[in-house]
Amino acid sequence: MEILQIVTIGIVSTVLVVLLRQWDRPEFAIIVSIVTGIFIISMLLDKLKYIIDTLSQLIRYTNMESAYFTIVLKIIGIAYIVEFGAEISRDAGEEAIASKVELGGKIIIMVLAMPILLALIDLIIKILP
Amino acid sequence: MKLISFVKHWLQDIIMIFIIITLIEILLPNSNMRKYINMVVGFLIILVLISPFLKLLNQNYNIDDLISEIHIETSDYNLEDESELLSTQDEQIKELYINRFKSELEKLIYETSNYKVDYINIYINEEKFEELQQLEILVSEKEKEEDETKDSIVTVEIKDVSIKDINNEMDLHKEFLEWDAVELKKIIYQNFDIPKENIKIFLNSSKVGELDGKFGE
Repeated sequence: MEILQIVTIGIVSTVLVVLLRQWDRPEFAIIVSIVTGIFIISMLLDKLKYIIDTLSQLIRYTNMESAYFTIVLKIIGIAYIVEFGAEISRDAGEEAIASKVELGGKIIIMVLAMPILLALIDLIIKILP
Repeated sequence: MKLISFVKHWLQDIIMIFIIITLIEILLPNSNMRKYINMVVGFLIILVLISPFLKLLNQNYNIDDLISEIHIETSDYNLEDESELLSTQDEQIKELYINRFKSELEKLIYETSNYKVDYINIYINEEKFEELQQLEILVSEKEKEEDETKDSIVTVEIKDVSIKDINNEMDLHKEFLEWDAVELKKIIYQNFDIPKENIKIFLNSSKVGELDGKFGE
């Protein structure tokens, strides 16, 4: 039934935003879209936690270090947050700000990816005779 | 046999990692962030594919390999180890802080009053050690230089006694609210900036050597 709630919230807020734009109130339209986004994400958080816990259990079956996996999960989280911010900026017609937000996300993802890259290089150096 | 188990583990790892990555792909946002995440996931796949060969090669190492291996092992970056190290470091710092504080307090009381400290009990805020939650001090009168015999009984006259809690062992260690205690609290407050209501001072009125060193908590 949660999917019905989410879809209903989405449709209602879409109608609201369209009406607000028609009444020449774009600032309220942006606020409504931000609040809707946060609300829907917060509804999904505990479900997401369940999925992440299951993935962590799967990781324990492998001989892989869980630190690397944690990095991947962090990167996914960052991608979601960045996307959320950038989309809102785009809705408001601020393409420049949206691209800056995305740039920040990309750079932070690269920084997080460095340990994995270093581990890989380490392995390759070890294996080569 | 060894080879079979080796291959089995390797295959298991590969299968599991691909299942996990498929699940992760579902979770991905469909934006231009996707290629960056795919890069990292690719690194992970390569790691999983390569790592068993390392074990295989390590079974017939020579001395040079061993030296380089030790070198790399020590420089291996392990997040869990680091956090463990940090927590033990924190505990050590806390212990050091408490011991330093105790010794300073003992010295201060010994020098500024005619009492000496028998026992100190400190309750510390877990997050910030600077915040002492409560300080309990057990003092006894300084023995005079001339009657420093072991069997002597120290008699202390208490003018005004208030017993806060009858249930615990306060019959031995009474919080004495006479002039001396107020004075001691003032000294501690001036030197260590601990609020006076958090300081409790008890007078050890038992015989010398009879101290059990415990407070009722």
